[in-house]
Amino acid sequence: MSAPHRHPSGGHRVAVTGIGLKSPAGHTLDQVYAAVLAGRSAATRVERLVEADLPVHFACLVPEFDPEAYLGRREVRQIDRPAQLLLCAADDALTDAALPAGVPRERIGVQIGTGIGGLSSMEAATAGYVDRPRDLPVHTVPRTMANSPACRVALRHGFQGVCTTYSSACASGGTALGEAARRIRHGELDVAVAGGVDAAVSTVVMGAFARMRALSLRNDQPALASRPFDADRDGFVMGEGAAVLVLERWESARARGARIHGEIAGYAENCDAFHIAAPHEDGEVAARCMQRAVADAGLSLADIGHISAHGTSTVPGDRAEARAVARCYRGQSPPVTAVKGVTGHLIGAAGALAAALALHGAARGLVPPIANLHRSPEADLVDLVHGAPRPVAPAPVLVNAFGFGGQNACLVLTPPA
Amino acid sequence: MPTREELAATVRTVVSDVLGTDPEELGERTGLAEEFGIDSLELMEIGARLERTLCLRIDPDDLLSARDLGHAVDLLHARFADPATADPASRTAHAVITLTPAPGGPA
Repeated sequence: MSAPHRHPSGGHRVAVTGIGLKSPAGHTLDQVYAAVLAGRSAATRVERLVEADLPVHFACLVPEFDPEAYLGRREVRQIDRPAQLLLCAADDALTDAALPAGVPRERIGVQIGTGIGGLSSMEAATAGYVDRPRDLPVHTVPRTMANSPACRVALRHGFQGVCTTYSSACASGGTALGEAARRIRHGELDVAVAGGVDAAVSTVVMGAFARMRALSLRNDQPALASRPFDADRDGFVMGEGAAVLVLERWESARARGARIHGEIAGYAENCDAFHIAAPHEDGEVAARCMQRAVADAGLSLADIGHISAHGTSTVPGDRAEARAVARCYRGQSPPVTAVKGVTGHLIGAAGALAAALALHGAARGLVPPIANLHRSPEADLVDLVHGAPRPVAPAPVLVNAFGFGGQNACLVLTPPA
Repeated sequence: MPTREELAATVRTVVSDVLGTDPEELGERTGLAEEFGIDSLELMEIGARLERTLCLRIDPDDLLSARDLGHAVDLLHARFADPATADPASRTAHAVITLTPAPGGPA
């Protein structure tokens, strides 16, 4: 290992000191990790989707909770569901981090990814007011703008450092964590509240994804619908939620005796530049992204203990990703898991949720199995964990987050030594 | 025309709905700026909702200058009684609400 407080790049190392989740599989990291270990899918039938005459009748929704345990009723009335989920997850992450008083407010930033942003809220505004625009609620713009969730976090806590909303489709959560880590690494921020959010289980968004044939239509068995890498997959399962990590300079976290979940050690991004929605089927660009993320962490591919795949349960996506991993590892891949079989696809929150779970699994040395995976056409390319959790030695984990537009974001997270 | 009591109840309901509080928590002497730190967007939303409920045009900018909720209700009530005072030129220095019939009348 290099000097303990310095990243191989010469910049600051980045510690993860807080994790907060509002996810379909639970509201705490322990709950969600337990569900993923058990392969318990969170997908359920959603009556309003049936009533809206959508071809897809199910999704993974965040279990009901009382937002007023976190937020005032006044604030709740002014924000949409993505902002609400993000604010609550951020509160939990900050409670977990227990930052000391006295960190200058301008040194704390908010870095959030979202794929769909406020489109579902604008969909509701459109449905309600397209014929009477003069009656639109005054808060329509601040409620629906894409940067509203991130800025609400900054506003609530008075964080005056850089506040950025990233939109790289389903890679957004990975982008936000990686960019946040870079800002700490390069000295722009001391602390970042970083992660992703999306809540788009709405008629138009679901209908639009369904029109692309991207969503599973397994209406009779929702719990079996999300099955990454399985031969019988037929599309992804829409999920909603928020995942927030508190990142800070490693040396500051150590000095204050914070509980450190681990480190964001490596990050890389690139773009397939091939098709607006489909991944390049040879996986070559995605493979390069993974290699660069590992190199960024100052590691070699052999140092990676397991991979948390993007694995959405679509044939083109899973196949291209398996080929990308196989390209990197020449058929000798480390164990590969994918959490979306349990959580569904949280779109802009997916990469951040996967990163939190991957770090937890890496620290415990237990890789969750891919839910609903029985038989895979990609089994000869990569080592897919299925059936039961796989014990591994604690080691860095590679997390993939890929998105429409050819977006690739890869993170390397290292558990505490 | 609503009685002052009815008008006060309507105002309390609308304000409490926007601020996420209970109507019972709002009294005649409640100051929306001092006690709730009400912002301009909330004030405009209250004005818009009162317009819809009362079918009258309200200038939300003026709401801010009311001393308290009771004062706002008084002025609203006075305008109802004598719409002629809705003429901006007839406003007193501390006028709170401007009322003119909404286009198209009651919905």
